[in-house]
Amino acid sequence: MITFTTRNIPGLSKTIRSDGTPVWKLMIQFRGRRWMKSHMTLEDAIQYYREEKLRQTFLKWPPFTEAELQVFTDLLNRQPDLRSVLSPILAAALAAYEPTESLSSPGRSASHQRGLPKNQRQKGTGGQVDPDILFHTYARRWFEANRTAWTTSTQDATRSLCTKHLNPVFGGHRLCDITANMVEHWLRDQLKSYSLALCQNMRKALASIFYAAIADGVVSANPVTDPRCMLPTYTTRQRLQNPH
Amino acid sequence: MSIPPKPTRRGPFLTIPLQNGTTRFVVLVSYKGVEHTIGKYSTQAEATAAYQNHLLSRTLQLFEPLTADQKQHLQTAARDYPALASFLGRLSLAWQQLHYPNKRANKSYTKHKEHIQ
Repeated sequence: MITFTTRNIPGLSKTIRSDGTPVWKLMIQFRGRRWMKSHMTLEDAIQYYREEKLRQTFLKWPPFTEAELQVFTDLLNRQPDLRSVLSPILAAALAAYEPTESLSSPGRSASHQRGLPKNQRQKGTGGQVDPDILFHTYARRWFEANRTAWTTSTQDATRSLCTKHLNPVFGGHRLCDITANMVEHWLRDQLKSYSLALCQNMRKALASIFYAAIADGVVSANPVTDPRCMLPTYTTRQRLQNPH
Repeated sequence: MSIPPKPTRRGPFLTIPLQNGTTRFVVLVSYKGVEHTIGKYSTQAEATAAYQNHLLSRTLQLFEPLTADQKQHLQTAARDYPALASFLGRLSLAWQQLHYPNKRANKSYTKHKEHIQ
């Protein structure tokens, strides 16, 4: 008997509604796409997870021909013992050959995704976002939307970066008011006190928050990707420090 | 003496050119952060099929294992329906418990050697 919990199913989390009923939220990530489904029971969530994993597995398999499908249906009708075993397999195999456009898309329309790198598309926090949202509120929202996809250590590191380094400087500003100039000055100050690697991590987290904000339609450009806010790589820094 | 080109890694497939001009394909999968070799094959098609079977096997770990009766029924169905024989054969082969061997860390290996000496 297999026991499924939130620990062995990645992306599964349990939330309690205000009326006390539990909701099982399952976030699936596949080929750069991410979508969330809410289920009333754990069994439903597991069922969906299994079907989706099977569908992903069968994507690379050759599709059934009409004749094979006919034989398969005949087999299921004649052998009821195998129906419970093979029905989910057949359903997943058929779903794998359907065009992927039929899958529900988690992100917003393409107009909100313009100018985003390929791996950052459709990674908004979802739902309506106030255009005047403060940085610290949006950072929390971004963190909550992404935490299920991260390991505990990544969650801790990102939380620490946000609370110790990003929020004290940008927290009180409106997201749309943060400019490349502000980020450049902040990065210059940080480089005086912290290592290059830590500054790169801070910049990375800040850039991800702004990428999500672009996907949510709050800002139109990412100030962190401005050439003035680029950080030297370790080797470039070595070369600059020791030119000979 | 000509030196054969270096092995190249592309996803789960490690392509090793051999001295005799042939190529060996090694399939590697990751489980809990540790890489395991699932097999060595002489053609890319065999390696791909082995990898796909392994992925199916991993997914099928989410389902209850087949009972002896169900295994028997699957084998009978594969015999009775030749059109589905390859699919059902792959399925019944993949539907089994996966075991990844425990890999010993170098540190304990050193200790082990010291103990032997």
